[in-house]
Amino acid sequence: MAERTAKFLSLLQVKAIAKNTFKEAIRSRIFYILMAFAVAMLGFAVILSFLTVGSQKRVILDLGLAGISFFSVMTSIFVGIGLIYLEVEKKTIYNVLPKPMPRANFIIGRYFGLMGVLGTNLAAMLAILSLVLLFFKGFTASVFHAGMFILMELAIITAIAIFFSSVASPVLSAICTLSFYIIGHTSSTFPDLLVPHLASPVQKKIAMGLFHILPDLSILNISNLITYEIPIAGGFASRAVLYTALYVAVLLLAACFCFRKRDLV
Amino acid sequence: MMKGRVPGALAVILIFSILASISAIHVEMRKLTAGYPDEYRSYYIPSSGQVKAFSLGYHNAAADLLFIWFLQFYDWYNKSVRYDYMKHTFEVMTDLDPRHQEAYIIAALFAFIPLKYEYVYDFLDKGIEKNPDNYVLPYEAGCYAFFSEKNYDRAAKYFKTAQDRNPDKGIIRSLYAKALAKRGELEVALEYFQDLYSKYENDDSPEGNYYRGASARYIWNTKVSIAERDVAAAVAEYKTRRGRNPATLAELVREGLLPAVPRDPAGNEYKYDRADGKIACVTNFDPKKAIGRW
Repeated sequence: MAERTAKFLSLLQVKAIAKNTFKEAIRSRIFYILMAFAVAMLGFAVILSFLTVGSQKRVILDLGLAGISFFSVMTSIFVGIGLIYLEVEKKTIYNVLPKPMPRANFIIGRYFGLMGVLGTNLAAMLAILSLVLLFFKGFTASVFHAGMFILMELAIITAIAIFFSSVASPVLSAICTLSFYIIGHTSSTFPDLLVPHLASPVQKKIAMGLFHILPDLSILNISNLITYEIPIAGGFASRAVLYTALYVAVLLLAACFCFRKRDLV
Repeated sequence: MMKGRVPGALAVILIFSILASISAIHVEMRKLTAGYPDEYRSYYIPSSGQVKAFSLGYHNAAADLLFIWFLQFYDWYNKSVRYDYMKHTFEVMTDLDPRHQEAYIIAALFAFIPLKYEYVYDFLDKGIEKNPDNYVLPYEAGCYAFFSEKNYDRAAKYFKTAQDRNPDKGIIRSLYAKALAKRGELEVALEYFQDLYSKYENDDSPEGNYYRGASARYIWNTKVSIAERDVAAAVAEYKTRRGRNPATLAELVREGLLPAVPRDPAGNEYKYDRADGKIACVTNFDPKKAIGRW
């Protein structure tokens, strides 16, 4: 009974921190600046679509989804990197930590709070993109499938940002998270661009090992398939959800571990 | 009160003055570079693999941007370096998005303007290979070969591919049959035209009327061409045997070179010219009779 009550209390604590993080992040200026950029990118896509030959819908869809994804990731990075570190720097964390609550709850609550903001942001931008596509008679429900996969990418990036925020300063966290974002989108080129240039078989094995261990964010990007309405392979979505969940779990575990060991005094 | 305002106003004036100066200098710089040769405005596009990596997974978006730039750059008709990097740009664009149909079509069109046929077919061949369900690209290639290059073997090859991919398109069937006729396969072409006619025989839509009329005319012309070809061969053989052209077509039948005196599609006799040994159809094709329900 006591154990159940403790679990319930823990869940309530995570929920309270997540709610607080949501409110805090939604008031953040950077959030609105990046959202404005994403909307501007949609407008830019519409203007560019008039310059092309052929399908306007394709340009709006390609650039719209790319813009939404890119600016959502930037929001995730630039809001996420300060979430833990600034709490410690401003000493506001001391209002929370003395309470009978494991430090891990703080990390998990922060993560889900930020994911709530990013999810709301993504839904709003997808709604705008859908309206634009409806206006140009190019709406496809697959936009929301793409949105689901963008959310998975955001889940991993946010977990990376939270992990670095729990161990490093915001500047270093931003650099590291951005590096992981770039690696995540370029690691798929390892087998074609990097491996053939490596001399020894050991190096090749290491490169291939890294290729499979590093987060492969490009595999979660299905916007290229959406444009041509190419069906997603059966069982891919469930595996992608599992892949994301495992990545997030390992990163949050690492973040909780580092944060637990951290001397905050 | 005034003391605070004056420096503020001065700062605003200063900022605007600097901006105006920057703008004026930029205008001057633009004027000075206007006379540079086109080669000065060189550009560099990395390899497909590198652009793929730099595009961070948004290959289609990168291909769209490159395509829009490609349209602007190659549309400038008097650029001396116009075709130097065209193939590379095209390769990158279509490696990023192999399904970008317009990229193949427009690149082929830009290559066609200076009649660089090797580029035209290279570009469209890549699209045909990368898009096995697309019939527009082989159709485009066939049109270049048929109407412009007049290479009917090549045209027939492309139209055949287009027809295999979309057997219901009347225009492709009709052009394939025409290419076959042009390269001498008259009987096969006739079968295709007859197929086309029967497909649209009871179709009173504008499209049906068009194809019924066109195929009726092609059937007429092909039948006349078959008769002309057979008579020409028989006359040549007759001349080899007798050293002269036959006086009438009946002589060819008596000699066993023709099964019967040929008649035009309306059932009338051909006009035979003994001097050159050729026949001519003297009956006019009657479209109303052939088409019926316009």
